[in-house]
Amino acid sequence: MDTTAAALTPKDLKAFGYTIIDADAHMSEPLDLWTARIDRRFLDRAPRVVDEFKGRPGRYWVFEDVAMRVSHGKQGGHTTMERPGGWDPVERLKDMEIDGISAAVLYSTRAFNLFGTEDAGLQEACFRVYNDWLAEFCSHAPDRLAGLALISLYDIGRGVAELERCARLGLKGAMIWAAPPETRPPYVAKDYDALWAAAQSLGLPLSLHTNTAGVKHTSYSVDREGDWGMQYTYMVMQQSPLQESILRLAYSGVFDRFSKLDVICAEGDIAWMPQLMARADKYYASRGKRGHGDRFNLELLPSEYLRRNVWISFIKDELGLKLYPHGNFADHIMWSTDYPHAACFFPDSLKVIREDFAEVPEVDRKKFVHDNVARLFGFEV
Amino acid sequence: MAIMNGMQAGLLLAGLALTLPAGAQNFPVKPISILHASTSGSGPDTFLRMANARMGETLGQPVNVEARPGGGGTVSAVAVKQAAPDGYTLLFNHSGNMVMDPVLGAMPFDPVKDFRAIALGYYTLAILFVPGSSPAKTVAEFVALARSNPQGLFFGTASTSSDLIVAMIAHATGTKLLSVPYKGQPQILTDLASARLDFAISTLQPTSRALIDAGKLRVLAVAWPKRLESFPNYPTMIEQGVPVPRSLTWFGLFAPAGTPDGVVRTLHREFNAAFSRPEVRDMLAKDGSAALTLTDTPEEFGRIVRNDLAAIDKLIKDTGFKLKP
Repeated sequence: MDTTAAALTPKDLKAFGYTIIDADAHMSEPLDLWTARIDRRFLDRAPRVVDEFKGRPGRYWVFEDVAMRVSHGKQGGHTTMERPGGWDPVERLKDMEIDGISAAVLYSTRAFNLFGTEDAGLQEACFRVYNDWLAEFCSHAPDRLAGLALISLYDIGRGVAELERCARLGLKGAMIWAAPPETRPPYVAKDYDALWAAAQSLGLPLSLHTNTAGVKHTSYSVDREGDWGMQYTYMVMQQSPLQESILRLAYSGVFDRFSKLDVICAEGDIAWMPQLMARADKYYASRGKRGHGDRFNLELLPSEYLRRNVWISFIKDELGLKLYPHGNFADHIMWSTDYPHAACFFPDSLKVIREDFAEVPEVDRKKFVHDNVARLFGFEV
Repeated sequence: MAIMNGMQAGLLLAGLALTLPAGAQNFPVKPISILHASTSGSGPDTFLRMANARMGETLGQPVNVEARPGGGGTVSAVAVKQAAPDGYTLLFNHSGNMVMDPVLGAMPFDPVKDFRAIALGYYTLAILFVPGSSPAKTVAEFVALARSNPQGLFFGTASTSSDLIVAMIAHATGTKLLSVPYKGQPQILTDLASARLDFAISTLQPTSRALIDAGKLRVLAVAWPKRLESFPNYPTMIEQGVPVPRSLTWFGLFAPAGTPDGVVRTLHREFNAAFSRPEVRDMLAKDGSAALTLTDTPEEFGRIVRNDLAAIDKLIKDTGFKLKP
């Protein structure tokens, strides 16, 4: 049995009675990750650090024509990005102990931006580097660190092969575009069936995370600095591609054909889900009036697919914790820290759980901070 | 010289048989297998292979040692549980699997109802190490260091038994001691030597002794009732005021429930004799990973198993210890 002592004090354990699992934390990729490891054919285009960008002084992480500030070693002004737990598994496990977190699902940080490139070969090469590095990181404590691979879908066949390779490496799921870029088929296309089949067969959840909708210039691009209205609009609207994708998967019959496919909406909050379910069912119920009743029939209601096939993670969503009972999807909601990003509460996650879930029934709190993510990713408790 | 006739000889043999414990008259008449879960060449495998030849000689039948790893001992335990209770299929298992796992979670066997305890072999040592660069040179200084650090001190661990020992120390000293999981002891000792960790519970195996000799590791205390004969310079935890009298990890011999008394006593006697051989004692002492601890009777070992089950259960309740995924 590969297990360890709990970081929670007896008082904490008495309060919670179970360990806490983080459904969405992040890596901090070393700045030289890609220049050090990428296939030599792509070295001149690999993401890298420069000391000046378009005449602006400072250190920038640059990928194609996008740059993000890394001056002072900080990102977003939040110092937890500096913690070596972002790239050193021993330090990561220490921080999790300090924060009272037993296990974590790990997403990328800088590599989010690579979803925006239109260079398929470069994207595949960059993702492969990240996946190898992440697998090495998680291998230190595979029972407690569940890494999600990055899968390029410009060539779906090669994407499936990479998904299978990552499963062999021990990664526990994968991120794909939150929504494909306009140049690619939407997720309703049968082209993606091989991917859905592989993910279902391997038992790997596919995650749609905010900031991965195939957009190159995200809000964190240095070109957007100062354009606060644009930046914050972008941030808030990042739930939109997630909503569109899961709705398309539900309406298009993908969840009929792949009934055990698990899709995650990550970091997009939860308050909207009950409304989306109700609205999806309302429009579906009206298909007869619209003259589609004999041509458009699903095995289940749209909301039932969302309840069965979609999982949703959030960091802090006060409204969502009031509205979720209306959607009857408590078995698929997962709490997360967002460590080490700006939204995280390190090292006070337990305190935040106590405060944020004060009005949530204990049976649901346990589902949100432990049971659901444990079930989805196979964490054994 | 009187020569017995056939009837006399038969009566004598019958009389001898009456003096043997029930069920042991014809035991063994075929080879015995001892299953264990450790990897080939590991401590348990090595010690067992040193002892089995002697057992085979005195029992008159080969005693085969068979590694059947999996589930930290559960695979071999289940195999022996399901074997015929005749003494020919035995289990050499550790308390992590026979005591800690059943207390901490559901197991496919009951260590008391499904097995007969035969003989205790040895305890694996539990020694508190700090980096050579640590300011702590005694347990008292270690406790003071932990108390002065609000974040707590980190230890590397690859086993539940280490976690439980640390939980006992933390509970007894009122300190905050946080775990970092590792796959095995070598990496823990390497990281401890470079002070990436604050302390560890380990043994005096050659790797750790080399790091001690190089000044990169320091022994603060041994969890044992008295100072070890082979390492008398290392103080015990008890003499430094920490009530952790011994390691929680032992290795011992078990048979399936229902094995006759006579067979169990025969095996206990021969197991003790084999483990008492000077070469086995010397190897255990020099290895530095274990302390030979034989029991006088099978019942004594059975009491140890039952007492440990109760003690671990209480420890978990007292300390709030909980397994992590």
